[in-house]
Amino acid sequence: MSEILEEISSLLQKGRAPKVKAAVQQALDQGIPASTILQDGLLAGMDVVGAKFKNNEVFVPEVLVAARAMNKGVEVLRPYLVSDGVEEKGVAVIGTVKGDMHDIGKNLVRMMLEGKGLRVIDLGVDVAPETFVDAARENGAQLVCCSALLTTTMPEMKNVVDAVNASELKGRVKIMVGGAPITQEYADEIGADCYTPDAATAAEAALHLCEQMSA
Amino acid sequence: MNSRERVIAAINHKEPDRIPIDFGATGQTGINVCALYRLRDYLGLPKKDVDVFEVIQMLGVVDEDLRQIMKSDVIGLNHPEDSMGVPDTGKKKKFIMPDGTPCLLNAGNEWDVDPDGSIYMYPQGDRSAPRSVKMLDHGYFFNIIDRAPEYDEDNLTPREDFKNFFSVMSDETAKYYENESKRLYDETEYAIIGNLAGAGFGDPGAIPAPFEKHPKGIRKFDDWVAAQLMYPEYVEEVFEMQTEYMLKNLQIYKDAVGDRIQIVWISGTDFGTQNGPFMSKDLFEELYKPYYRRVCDWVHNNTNWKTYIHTCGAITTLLDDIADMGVDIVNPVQLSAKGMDAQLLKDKWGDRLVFWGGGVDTQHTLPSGTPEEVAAQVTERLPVLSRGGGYVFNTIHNIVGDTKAENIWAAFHAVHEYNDRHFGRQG
Ligand code: B12
Repeated sequence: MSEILEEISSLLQKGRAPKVKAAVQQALDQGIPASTILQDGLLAGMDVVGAKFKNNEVFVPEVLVAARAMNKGVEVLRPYLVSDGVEEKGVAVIGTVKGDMHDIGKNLVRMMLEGKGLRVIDLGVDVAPETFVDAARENGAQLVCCSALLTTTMPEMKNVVDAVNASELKGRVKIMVGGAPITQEYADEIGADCYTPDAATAAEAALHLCEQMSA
Repeated sequence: MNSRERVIAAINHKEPDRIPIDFGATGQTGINVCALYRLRDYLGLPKKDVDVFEVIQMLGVVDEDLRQIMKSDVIGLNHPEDSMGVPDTGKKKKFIMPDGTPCLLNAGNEWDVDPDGSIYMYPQGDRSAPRSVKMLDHGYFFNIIDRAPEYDEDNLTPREDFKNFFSVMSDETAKYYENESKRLYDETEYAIIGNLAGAGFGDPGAIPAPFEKHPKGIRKFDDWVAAQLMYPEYVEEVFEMQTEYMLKNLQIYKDAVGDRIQIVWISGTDFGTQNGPFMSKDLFEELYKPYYRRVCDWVHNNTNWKTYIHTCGAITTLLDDIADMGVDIVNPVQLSAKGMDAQLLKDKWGDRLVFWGGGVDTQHTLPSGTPEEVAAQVTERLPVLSRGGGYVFNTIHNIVGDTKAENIWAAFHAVHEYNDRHFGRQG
């Protein structure tokens, strides 16, 4: 792999946003295709961060700054990706369920999903079931991702599952759930399609689901 | 032993005559108004409007009749201003929770109910300021609304941004603490925890400042977390400022309450998540430890108080530092988080740290278990946690609004029974 791509990955892991931006520009100037810079530079870097986070080698602050650096890099690439007709690997809508304002976990999942090359629409916190459904419809999403951190708001996830199943999206989108109190058992009980305990695994699972659905 | 002596023994790592209990003495060992109202009913106590002592989480004041039934050994010396920045003038205003629970708030509070049933409150009861918290039509507590405008990263002004966030304690407040601490000390036998706060460095619940009229600067939680690495000078400047205020306020507080309180509650910053610590040990040691140390050192050099912090989550990697920086008591001991094993905590830190909480899992067992499961879990944990003293019973964090009264009673009654069985029946 070219040196500059490794450089991008390593700068991203350190969260050096301005330097990532400059390095991405440099890579473009060297004639490397935007999709390669994205995949082997930015997303590769984010992958390393995700794996380290999962193993408690880096923590929330490091992931947040790495993701900010990734976004700066993607900003530079975006016009090229669009003109090259590079397709996103999937579309997800994500939000913290109604009544819940814990958003750090949700934000990390969003970042890791973006780190896998998915387009993610972040609906924020305190998101009503209809809002998940409407956003999934409008954006042609394959995935609806719900986060809940409270035992008092977990039941809202069931309402999201029900709202999706009551709409024409039934069977056309997959529902992922997570957050501190959520378990596989609970996910099964409410009929969610996928649960993972952490953001890095969530991103792998999301990518896998999107690939399955487009296959 | 009376309650105060019992707690004093426990926090000095001596085995007391029974395991001490806290029910409602702090903002993290309390009970939501809805659960409190139902618990009173379940126990056959007279129905009454619930006084609220912490507005955002809607924690209810535990009255003497209930405190006695729950056999709490601790009482809180609370701030005369609520978390919306509204002073307690003695006058109250009725507030009805979405589930119908009647409550009383300080009369200066102002709120609106929107057509969809959501309730919004104004900081310091000021209707000219943007509304700072929101409760859903079926909620049990308020959600904090992000209000700070975008900050300019090339022109960061920490002291200016936080100038309304910190303040020096007024003479009036000091006088209140003096009188109230005398009342609690002379008229009750409870151990007294001074809920002073002030050293919650980077507390995610405080940074967005629901009590401030116009918060400025880095106030969104994820911006704040990122700022620890991106603009550490900013964070350090805020912490420096906070320490200056805290040390001033500690002196005023000490002059007001003397040695009538046994414990001072200084911080509620969460350093743990479900799966691990919020930050690396290095970052904690660089950014947090020095400031906590200054505060704890002041307390130990000038008073007989024990220092108390609250931090959720999986914090085993930080406990050496936490003990080392002068913290005496740690709450809520979230045994459901990764690596937080009761035996391990006692073995490794039990001689240096007092564990306050940990009694029952509030993520699974207390909300969704049967009363028998709740009691069994409490009974299993007590001998491990209380070995050698250094333990005060409480659930893990506040009891949330929809918790069943029979489960709450099962948890506390299990401690009563354990105490009776092991230490003899008490009047
Ligand atoms: C920080 C925090 C807060 C902050 C939130 C700030 C913010 N903007 O997010 C503040 C202080 C405001 C807060 C408030 C409250 N909190 Co709080 N909070 C926490 C704390 C300490 C950490 C949560 C966190 O940020 N974790 C970091 C992230 C990275 O982890 P995570 O969210 O678990 O996400 C990971 C995975 O779960 C997964 N994931 C997350 N979402 C998703 C989604 C999908 C689709 C997938 C696949 C995976 C996935 O990936 C993430 C990364 O690996 C937890 C403690 C804990 N043990 O979790 C308590 C905790 C969640 N809070 C709790 C409570 C009770 C409250 C309050 C009600 C007040 C109170 N303390 O009484 C209020 C309610 C506010 C509200 N309306 O929501 C309790 C909940 C107990 C219960 N019964 O469920 C906890 C568990 C504390 C405890 N020990 O009891 N809190």
